[in-house]
Amino acid sequence: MPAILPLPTKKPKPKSKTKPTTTTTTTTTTKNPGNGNPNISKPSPALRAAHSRTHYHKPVPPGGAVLGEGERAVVVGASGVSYRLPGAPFEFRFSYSETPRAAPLAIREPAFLPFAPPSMPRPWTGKAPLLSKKEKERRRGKIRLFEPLGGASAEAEAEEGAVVLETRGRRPLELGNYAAGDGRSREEVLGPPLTRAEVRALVRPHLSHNRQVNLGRDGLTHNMLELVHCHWRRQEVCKVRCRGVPTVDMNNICRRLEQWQEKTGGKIIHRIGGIVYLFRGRNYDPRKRPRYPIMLWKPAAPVYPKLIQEAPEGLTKAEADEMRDKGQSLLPICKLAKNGIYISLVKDVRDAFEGSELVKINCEGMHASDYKKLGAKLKELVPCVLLSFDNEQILMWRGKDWKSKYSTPMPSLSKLQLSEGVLQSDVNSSGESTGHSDETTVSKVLWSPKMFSLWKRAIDTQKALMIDGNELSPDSLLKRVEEFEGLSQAAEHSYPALILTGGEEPNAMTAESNDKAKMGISRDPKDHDEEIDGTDNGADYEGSDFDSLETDVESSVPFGSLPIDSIAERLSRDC
Amino acid sequence: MWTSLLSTSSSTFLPSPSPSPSTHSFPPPPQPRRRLFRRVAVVASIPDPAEGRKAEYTPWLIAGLGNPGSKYHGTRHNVGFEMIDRISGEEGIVMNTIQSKALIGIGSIGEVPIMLVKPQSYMNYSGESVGPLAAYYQVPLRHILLIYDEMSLPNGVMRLQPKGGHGHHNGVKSVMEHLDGSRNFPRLCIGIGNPPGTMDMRAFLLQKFSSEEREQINSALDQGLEAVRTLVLKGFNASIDRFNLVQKYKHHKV
Repeated sequence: MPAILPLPTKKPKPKSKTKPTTTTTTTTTTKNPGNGNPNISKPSPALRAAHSRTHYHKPVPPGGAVLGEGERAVVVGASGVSYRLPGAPFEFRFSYSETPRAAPLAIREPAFLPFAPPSMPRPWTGKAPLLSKKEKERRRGKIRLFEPLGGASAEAEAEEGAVVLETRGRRPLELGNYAAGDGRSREEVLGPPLTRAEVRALVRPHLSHNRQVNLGRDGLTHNMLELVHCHWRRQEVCKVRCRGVPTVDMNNICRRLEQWQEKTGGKIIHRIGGIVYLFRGRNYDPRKRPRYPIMLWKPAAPVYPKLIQEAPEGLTKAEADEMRDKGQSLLPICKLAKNGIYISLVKDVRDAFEGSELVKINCEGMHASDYKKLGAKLKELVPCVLLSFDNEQILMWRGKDWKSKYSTPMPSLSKLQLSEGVLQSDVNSSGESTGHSDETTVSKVLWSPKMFSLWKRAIDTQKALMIDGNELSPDSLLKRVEEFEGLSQAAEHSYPALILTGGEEPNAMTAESNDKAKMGISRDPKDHDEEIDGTDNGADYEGSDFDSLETDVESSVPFGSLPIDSIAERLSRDC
Repeated sequence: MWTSLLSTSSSTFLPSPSPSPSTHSFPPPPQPRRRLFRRVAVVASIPDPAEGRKAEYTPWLIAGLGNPGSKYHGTRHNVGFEMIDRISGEEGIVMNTIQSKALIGIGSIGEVPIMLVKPQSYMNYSGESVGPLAAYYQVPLRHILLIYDEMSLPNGVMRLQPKGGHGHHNGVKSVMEHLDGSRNFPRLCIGIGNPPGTMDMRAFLLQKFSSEEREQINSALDQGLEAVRTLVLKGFNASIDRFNLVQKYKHHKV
């Protein structure tokens, strides 16, 4: 019978104090639409943050506290909330990389360990839950074995009172059993180090493949340990893709992975951007791997001291407000994408602090919890003081005790220093400069002899033209350049013409030859012979008759004086 | 002058005091021409202490890209020209020669010889003037500084890079083409900002600056001048990185 549903406002009912909020991580429970309207897109349950709205608040003394009795305890200390279990090799935490350095002030839920209880008060007599529609779909094409794989061993391992999660169609999942591995050291499991070729070969198939472990805003969580081992069971390399807030400090993530890896045995072989490739080790044995209990729900984050204070770090409230007002008109140094990679953010903020004491970052589009976490991380990494989060922008102040990374203020080369040097060298090479001063009118500037010689040669061979550059408008300059271009091209590409006797159009030919004769210089300045020939012939052409040109034909083009001939000669000489 | 030419061509070697007979027993050196000149220089010329000790610095070719003609004078695409004008004004280098379709001026900053070039071919063919000029004056690729406008930087922000791409700038594309497709020459990018809204890119580039932008560009040109001096005298080092960072965040002040 259909229940009369309430109006579509989704507010969770206030929970009672003693019952902790549980959100199971197993996928057997389906999402229950609380309101009857399917069109409203519901926010992801991960962000519902029901925990932050609970009324439970139990302050923790500043020295830390151990809540719980005996072996199973919740330790709240300077490094956050951690869980101590009997027989565990280390204290478990929800997130190994995203724990702020500040000490928590209070906890938001009663101190329950988010792991399975060690034993049950009475044996389980029920059945595994029924399969959901999706699971039935998944099962449709598969062949059911008479005995599921590993089923016999699972029953053999299950002890009295051990907690085993029964599932249909799969092997039962053991909760609460943990083993510390087979006692081999990390070096033994890793084996000899990998060569570069091996690394490339291992990483290559994973580069464009999306089989990976996603590391998001919670950083390296406890259940990821299991997940990585599941990946390692199938492939030697596990690809970890990091996105969002944790990427501000990739080094920290890698350090935690390496640290954790000491207990499991694995090595980062390749790291690029926000992606890390973990190698399991040459001598890895999936059967002898350490087993950790999985966390069954996400515990509530404890209460940390407020990020933004009214009068931070020795400023009065008025000064802080003045800074906030100044920050209103500040340009943000960058805009951050919602789930992006912020690897260079710390460096950028530090560089921006060199120029200005206030820095603003545009975080529009990000969730409020995300940019607050980002602000907290920046506060620790770039040491800075957070001033405000309004308008979805992070406004930071560099703090009173900020020290620049440069020892000297920005050096500037003044004209004074340079002109002294110029005058000195002018005196030394006065011989040269007086020679130059004929050409250059006012310049006291030293010309390098090589450049000067090249320039002089260019002018002599008509490749360059000296003009009075001072009073030349851009248009007239352009006109002169184009004119000169025409002339110099003619000079460059011309050769004293062979005018054969032909009687037709003698006048035009003469005119042409006269023009070329006036330029008269052949193209290749290296061959002195050619130059001399060219000028001689030029002189000849001006006044000569056409009849005498026949005899001049041979002399005008001396055999073997073309540029190609010199190249051919050089080549034949060499070989 | 001929002897001075000789001495500078061999200036990478210090002149030896006297040719000793033992040098004959050495295996023939790889560059016999140079050795010959060295001996001639020592024997024939009076050693001039200043010239002998002074090493010849490799020249720099500083080219600013732009369009010629008064129609394009002072437009956004011509900031390269403005920068060159500023350098020539401050360093006292007169640009008085036309060669290879460009207006050039030779001079020096301190001890380092430089050549300022303003190609007067239109922007898309700038390479045709810059390439042959660099070849003629024997300027190595790493000493060709190209100054041009960059739309990906905000207005007035400059950046000195040791190498880079063309960023869809036709002038730079043509220069790269004429330098045998190489991208490894330094450049000074002067930011002019993105075209507002859906304005046509070419119309934006050929527009003149607004008044605030004009002031920003003028101050940027001064700062850029300092940076060019540092680059030519000291090469790419930490101060250039610092210059780039300062420029990047200079508008983010309260």
